[in-house]
Amino acid sequence: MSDDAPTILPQERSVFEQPSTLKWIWRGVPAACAFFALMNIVLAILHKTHPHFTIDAFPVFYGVVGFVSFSFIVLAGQHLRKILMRPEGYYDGEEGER
Amino acid sequence: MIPFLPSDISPALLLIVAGILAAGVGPVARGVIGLVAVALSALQLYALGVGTMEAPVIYGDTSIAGFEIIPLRMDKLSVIFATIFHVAALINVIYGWSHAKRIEASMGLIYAGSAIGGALAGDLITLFVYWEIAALSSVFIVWAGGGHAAFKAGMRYLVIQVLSGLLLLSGITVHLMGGGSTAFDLFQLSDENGVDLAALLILLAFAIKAAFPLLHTWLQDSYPKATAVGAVLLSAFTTKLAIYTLARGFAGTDILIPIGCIMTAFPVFFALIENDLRKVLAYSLNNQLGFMVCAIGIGTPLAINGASAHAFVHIIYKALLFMGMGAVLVRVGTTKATELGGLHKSMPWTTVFTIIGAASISAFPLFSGFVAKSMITLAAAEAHMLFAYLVLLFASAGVLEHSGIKIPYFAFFAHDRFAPSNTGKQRPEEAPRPMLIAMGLAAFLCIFIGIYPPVLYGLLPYETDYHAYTSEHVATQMQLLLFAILAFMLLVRFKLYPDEVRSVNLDVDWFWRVPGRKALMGAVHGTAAVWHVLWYALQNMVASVLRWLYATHGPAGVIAKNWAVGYTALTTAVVLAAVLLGVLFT
Repeated sequence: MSDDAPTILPQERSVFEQPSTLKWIWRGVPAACAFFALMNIVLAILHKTHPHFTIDAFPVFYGVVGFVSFSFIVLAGQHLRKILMRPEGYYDGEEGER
Repeated sequence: MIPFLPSDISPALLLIVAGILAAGVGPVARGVIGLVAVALSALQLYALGVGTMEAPVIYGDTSIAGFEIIPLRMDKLSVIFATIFHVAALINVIYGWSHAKRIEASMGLIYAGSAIGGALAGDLITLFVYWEIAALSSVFIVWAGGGHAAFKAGMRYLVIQVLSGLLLLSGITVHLMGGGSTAFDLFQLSDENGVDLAALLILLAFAIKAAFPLLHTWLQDSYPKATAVGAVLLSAFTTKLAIYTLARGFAGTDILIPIGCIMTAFPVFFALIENDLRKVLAYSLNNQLGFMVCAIGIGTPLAINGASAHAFVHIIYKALLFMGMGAVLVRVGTTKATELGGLHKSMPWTTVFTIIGAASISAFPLFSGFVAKSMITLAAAEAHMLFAYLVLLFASAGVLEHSGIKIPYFAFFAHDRFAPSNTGKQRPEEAPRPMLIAMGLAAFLCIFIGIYPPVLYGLLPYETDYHAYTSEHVATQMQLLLFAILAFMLLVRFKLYPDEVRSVNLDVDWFWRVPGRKALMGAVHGTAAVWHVLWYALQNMVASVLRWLYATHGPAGVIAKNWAVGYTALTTAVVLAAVLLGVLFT
């Protein structure tokens, strides 16, 4: 994240910027991850899952795919900038900036 | 049936005529004409009825110059696309109620009409006509963005769209010369004799408008340069008409599976590094089209249902996302992530609606993407295509990254750049009311389809007993999304998520916008130089001929010399003698 974040007054913070809300999110999301992973494991034990391949029979396969894919996209994708990034106005000059 | 209209009139014509009328009236009348036209057109579509895939209902079947023309072919595939185009047209009319320029309101109706006409066309010639009307009407919407950059992007857009039209016309010509009929049905791209040229040309025409990889850049180039209203219009029609034509003409064509996989995967990376959030949405659009193309390649009834359902819900939530960013553009003047943040404090409704669009495109349960996209991944799984399946899952995580998180996060949360204590100004206002109504309608549809999918499944081309809401499906999808969100939180926490940077990122259009342009200009200058050389050589030659003539015939020339009277008499006598001698001896 950018460090040039403007500082704002405490009274200008919304509920989404309160530390208590952020703390709640930091607890809620991992808990929800655990819940659905557990749900999938239970479904697998009860033979209520219908895998189409060998690999997706692994109960938390989708969680792993989500986590790894997302991380890969962000970590690998940003290096594309080294090849593709040009200054604004590269094609159309100043008048292209809107 | 509409009492004062012929019973078999095309809904497309109603919208096209309304578009022409709208060009000549004021802003409120334009909106009223748009609403009435969309309502009449939808009524007409409903009155025409719908046949099955095997036995479509046909209207206006006629023969022109020996070619069979079928202006209206009503089966479940054509009607689901015509239906969603009506929904998109309605949303656009409302969204642009106070902000659409004259040309946008007018061309927008013509553009919507052409997409509906193309979807209902039963023959290739009618399809070609609407294909071209769509290209020509939509370019005005790009140009309406204003400025030289939009004009140039519009020109590039036009060249590429016209190229698609030419390829389609060439394909149709080759097809007809080879003894094919004008009917627009399934093509065989290849058989034991090799690749069919007509089918290849037609597929290429569709590929351009469906923004296949390497042919895609017109989309990311032009859509973000349109106005707030224009981008919403553009997002709905051209590419989805192309998806319809692919589903009609090339269902089950194997090559579409890897093409679709590439289409879903590569835009994910471009969207990550892009700063302009409307351009992020344009890449996201490309990624979504990939899901549909992949499904069309798989070609089973479930897959075609999946492609149609996905196109249907996609048009709504993509329009919703473009509307959210359009509202930001109207209020802030930019959609660059580097200049946005914290807008949820003063644009709460826009924030909520955009998040509903983001949840829908990310395929969260209870939102429309969930009930549609899962049909495509299931179709890949049932066909035991592991690679395609994995790519589609990967791309699903990618969708969450750029459309699910990046768009709402950077526009409405992230860093508050509009705090009055810093800017000394009021925060940007909430979106104008017509825009909020249009966004609200789209958001309602996203949720309604998400919680009551039978309303969508009843429209699908093939009978289905598909159930999206199984405990397994909910558990797997929620895992994929929540673990991806967890990854996002960790990446942000450890400062591994890339900063937004003011920049332009190159895509394959660089090849024709930089070296291609240089080569073209080189050819232009080279031609001019050769022409100059030839022209000067010609001028010199003409000048020397004139000089020689002047030397002989000019005032001082031999021919122009004054002759003495005696000399003249002598010459005359010689000539007379010669004539007399001639007469004597003949």
